[in-house]
Amino acid sequence: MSSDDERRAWSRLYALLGQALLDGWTPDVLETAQALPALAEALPDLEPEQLSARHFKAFGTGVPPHVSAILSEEGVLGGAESQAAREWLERCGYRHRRTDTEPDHLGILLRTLGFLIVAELDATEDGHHARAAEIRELQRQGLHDFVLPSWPPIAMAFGGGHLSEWTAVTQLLSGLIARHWGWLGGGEVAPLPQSVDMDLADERVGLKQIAAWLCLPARSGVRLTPMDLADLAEEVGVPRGFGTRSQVLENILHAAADRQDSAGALESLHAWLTRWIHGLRELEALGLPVGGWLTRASRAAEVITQMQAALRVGETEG
Amino acid sequence: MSQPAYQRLSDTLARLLGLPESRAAAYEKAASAPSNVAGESMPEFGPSEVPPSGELTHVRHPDGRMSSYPPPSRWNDWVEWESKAWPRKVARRYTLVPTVCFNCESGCGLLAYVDKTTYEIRKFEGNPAHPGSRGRNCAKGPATHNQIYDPERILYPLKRVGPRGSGEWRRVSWDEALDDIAAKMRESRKRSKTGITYHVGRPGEDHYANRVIQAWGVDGHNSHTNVCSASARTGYYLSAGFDRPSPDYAHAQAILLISSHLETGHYFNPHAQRIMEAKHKGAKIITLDPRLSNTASKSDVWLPTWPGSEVGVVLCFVRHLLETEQYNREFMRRWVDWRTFLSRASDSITDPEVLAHCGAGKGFDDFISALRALYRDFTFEAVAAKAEVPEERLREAAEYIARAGTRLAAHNWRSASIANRGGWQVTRALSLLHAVTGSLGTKGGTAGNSWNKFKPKAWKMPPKIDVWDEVQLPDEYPFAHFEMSFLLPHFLQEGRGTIDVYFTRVYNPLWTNPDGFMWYRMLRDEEQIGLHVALTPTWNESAWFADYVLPMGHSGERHDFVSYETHAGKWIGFRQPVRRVAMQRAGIEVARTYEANPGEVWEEAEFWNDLSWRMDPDGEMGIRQWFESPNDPTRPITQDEYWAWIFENSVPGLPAAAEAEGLTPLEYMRKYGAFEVEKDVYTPYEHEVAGTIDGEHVVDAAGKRIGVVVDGVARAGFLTPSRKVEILSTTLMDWGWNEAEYSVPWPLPSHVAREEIPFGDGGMLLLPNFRLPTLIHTRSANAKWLVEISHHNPVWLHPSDAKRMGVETGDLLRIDTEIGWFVDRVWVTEGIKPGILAISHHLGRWRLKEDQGLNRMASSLVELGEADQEYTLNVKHGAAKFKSSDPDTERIWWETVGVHQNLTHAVHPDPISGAHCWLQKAVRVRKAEPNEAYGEVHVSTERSMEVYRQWLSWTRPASKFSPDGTRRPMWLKRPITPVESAYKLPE
Repeated sequence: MSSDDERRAWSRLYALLGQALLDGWTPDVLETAQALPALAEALPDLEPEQLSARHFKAFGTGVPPHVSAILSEEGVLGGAESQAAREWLERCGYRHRRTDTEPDHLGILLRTLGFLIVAELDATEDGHHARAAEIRELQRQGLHDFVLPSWPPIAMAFGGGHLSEWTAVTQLLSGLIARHWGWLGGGEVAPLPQSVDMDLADERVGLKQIAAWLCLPARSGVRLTPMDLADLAEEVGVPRGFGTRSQVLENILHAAADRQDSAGALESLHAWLTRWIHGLRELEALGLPVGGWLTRASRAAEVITQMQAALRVGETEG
Repeated sequence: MSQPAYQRLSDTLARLLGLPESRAAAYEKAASAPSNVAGESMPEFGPSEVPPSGELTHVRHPDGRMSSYPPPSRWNDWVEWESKAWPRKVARRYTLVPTVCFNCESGCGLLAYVDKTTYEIRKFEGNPAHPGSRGRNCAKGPATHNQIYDPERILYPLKRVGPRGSGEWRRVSWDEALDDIAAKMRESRKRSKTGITYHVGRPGEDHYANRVIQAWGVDGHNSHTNVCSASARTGYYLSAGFDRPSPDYAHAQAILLISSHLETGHYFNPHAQRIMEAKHKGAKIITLDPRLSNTASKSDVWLPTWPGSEVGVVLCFVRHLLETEQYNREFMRRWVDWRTFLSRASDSITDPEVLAHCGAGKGFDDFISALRALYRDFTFEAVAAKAEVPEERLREAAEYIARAGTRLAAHNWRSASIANRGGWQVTRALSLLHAVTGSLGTKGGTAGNSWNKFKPKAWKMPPKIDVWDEVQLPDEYPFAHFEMSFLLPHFLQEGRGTIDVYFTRVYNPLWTNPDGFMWYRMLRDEEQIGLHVALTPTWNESAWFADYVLPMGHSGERHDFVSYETHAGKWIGFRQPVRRVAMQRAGIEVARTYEANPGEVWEEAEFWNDLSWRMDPDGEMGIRQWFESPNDPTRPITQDEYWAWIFENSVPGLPAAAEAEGLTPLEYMRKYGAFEVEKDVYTPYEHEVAGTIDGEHVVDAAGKRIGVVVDGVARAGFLTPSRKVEILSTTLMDWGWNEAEYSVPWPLPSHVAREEIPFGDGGMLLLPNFRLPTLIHTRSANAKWLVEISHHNPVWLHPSDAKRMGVETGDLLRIDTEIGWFVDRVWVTEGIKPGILAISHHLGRWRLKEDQGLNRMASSLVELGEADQEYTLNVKHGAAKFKSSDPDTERIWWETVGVHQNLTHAVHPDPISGAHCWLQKAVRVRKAEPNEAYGEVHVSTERSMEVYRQWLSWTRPASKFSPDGTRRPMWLKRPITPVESAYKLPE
């Protein structure tokens, strides 16, 4: 496969998987995916409606695939990240018109990267070398400003294998993004925004605040999905209750405390964080920059370690 | 990256390269031979061995937008990349054939990209050579492609085999259909001159069909005008002798729209682009509409007037201009028939303050004083209270109008004029405003349609008809513009006549007209309608009750001559069957258009010729002579022969333009599809004329008035009896409408004035007739792109009304009208005035058979019920996915397709204009009960006839009021004008 052919293939894979992220397994996407063993083997034999439900579980309630939701301090959609993505799309020649999602949806951004790759090839083929360089720079900006900073938590969220098809998709995308970034010259990416640290010494901090902090990726460096929380509750043997993710995590920690098993809950949480950190290192080995995420996840693990230590002191003193 | 993961990614990338791009795959294929796949599969296209043709022509439009077009020099052989094959570079080779859109009345230019291998049509884009649309189209133009490749279209002539409406059909040949229909027409014509009716919804052409009807010698033209523009036409005609406005928007300084004209109105695309052009140059837009339309939202002043108050609003502008001395004195003096006003005012006006300025010996200044007195009570304060709009907005609008002066462009077509009883006074008032501002026919002003519309002289015009069919234009409506189309079933129900052969052409009265169950009754009655032939490009509710359904082409499948008043100029457009033209360019002989069109879809122009020929095969009835070829009288004239004659003999300037390019006029029109006959047409009434001076007027040799003397110069003037603008209509006075509220521009009480609505009993006003920009009446149900955009018609309801009724968006509402009720969903919005319900036109289509009758993406499967004179419609299910030759039909994601509200509308024929006054009294509106389902309709036709008779009783028939024993003032237009003797009332 020549370099140009390989890049055409990148473009197609971006288009296919970006579309899958965006709208799920539509008939067109499914038809192509089933012709690709890496995806076909991971796709469960389910009706389209069931596949749609799993898509919703993955990205509707699991990990919102938006740059803003991952990077913003409050973990909400829209705002500066979304506006920056809109402007980048416009520089690429797209006007974001969809009303059902924001322009910083990774599906949209990945599809656009796919478009840019072929546009660059076409420009080169037609002898428009300056234009080709501009398009290459747009690819670099897209990866640098949006995709790379926000990708690690999404890639990590499906490492558990709950949703096999999305595990396969994110693994392929991690490899593809890494190759693409390497081809563009690699390097560091935009640093994660400043964020509030957790100060366990603050007397206002209780389980509610700790749970809320852990559930905000931009603060804790991790993304606990509802599926992760369900696993955690099951492992600890406590009910998780209802509510937002931070409410559920708080419920778990409270229930564990009520049952005199805070140590078990913290141990399980720490183990989960350790796996997360290990996963990030694997991404790093692929060539994806994960430095900021690694620092924050390590800090989250440290916070849990401090809690474990405080718990042991309490038990000794009690 | 781990080795297995690395390998998986590499394998995936390699495999992806080997796979076709799923969406693009179809467009990478290359077909190798001509095909005709419409209705059976999606089209395929051939390869191009030559690379793309190169540079496009870039055009910067006057409003700043830019477009690119293939240069006309390359139209015959144009190569471009196949966009859908991207990222592959696949070249396609086309011949570009211009035609004219048929999806509304604008007649915008289209350019069909016809593949040079398969002759399938790849797409329709704008025709930059078209002077009206200037290369631009709305969504409906490109959607023509959907209609051509609609998997459910009618491709062959069908003949009914079961009872009418049973949905049992047999495919027949064109020969069989022609012979059978022609035989019935011959038999009818030999008995009478009123047995054949051609009922046209959208003409979309100028002169051809009317010539055919005239050749048959029958008074058989019927139209849709009375549910459309009759009221506006009446007001304009009585005032200034033209029946439609033609505003010069592009040069206007103030644009007054009594409608949602910018968004959806008449001549939408050509007008909207010019309105925006003016807005870019600083023009102010004033819009009267109780609904916050997109037009209203783009306006500088939005006046959400209570329906029926619009005349008062216009008159307060008039009053302001008169009181502040900002009127155009010179225009008024020269071009308003103020002398007749002064001399005859006392025959109609009783107000002594007005009459003090009238009478013998009075002059122009007295006339102005009389007008000031006449309209003295139309103060901003009083009108604001009546119209329920802020006074300061009225003042602001009045000042914009005053500043614009002769550059006031105003438009009214349907909206308030067709909505209210007495709505024709809206355009009487507008005509007065134009006179006061001197903005008639000026640059930036408002012209008459006939000044900007080119009418060709027909080839061999048959003599005028010598008969008057009372079923078309009955005694009660001497001023109707025109035939009383929507009352046809009521007339037949009363025994006023029967029809032997009834052609409906692009006409779906059962669905479109009010009181549809009356049409349902009539169309099924074989005694009332002997033979019903539906000429239609697509299924519709009325065609289901036909005896023959004959597929006629869409815009790229037929020949027509079109010209419309889109701006201050005159142009002609030539609609062409694009596959046929492309084949002929390649040397393939095509004798009849159905040989080239999809299936056996034909075109009316050829159909009429062959039908008329078979009606009178040996010429004994005198009909055949009008259809004989000038080159070989033993066969019918061909389309090439007919249009060659028209373009050579009937269009000034065209032969010279063609010669300059080394083409014949027909070749020129086949190449460009349009021709600009005249530019910058302004104030034609000022043209000097030659004739005999007869007092104030100029007459021709036959004694017919052809002009008027103004300041000693003989000028063309207007087409009114006085040849001037008539503020006082002596015609109305002489025909029994003598009261001042009729004879001068004046607000007549609407049937939906606030005091007419039973608010205390849960009543509201129902506004049922606003358009959507993406649909067109009932013709767009076969355009998948358009239906996907717009497919339901919820009830717009103000939050205060919603709160009062305890309903929210999505709830079901039951709306009781004068003759029945229906159930629709609510959309709560501040975009509608409190007290008013608004529901858009177009939607709520239905069919009676699961897989036939109407497009499944756009219609509900319904069940019709009937007991005595009570009728019901119940929805079984809405739109759903289905398998067809178009994969998109499996992607239908919507279910509801709207509610057919028109069935529950009582007929409201205005006693003067004959227009159906569309606004309805919703006598009771409430939240639906659990057993009342979405889309359900109940109607009593007994009640329908009662309402009809009530409105009929308000007329003043010619037989009682005609001043001269004629049926209709002779100077008023008819689509096909009979000889003078036919106007005489029976003894």
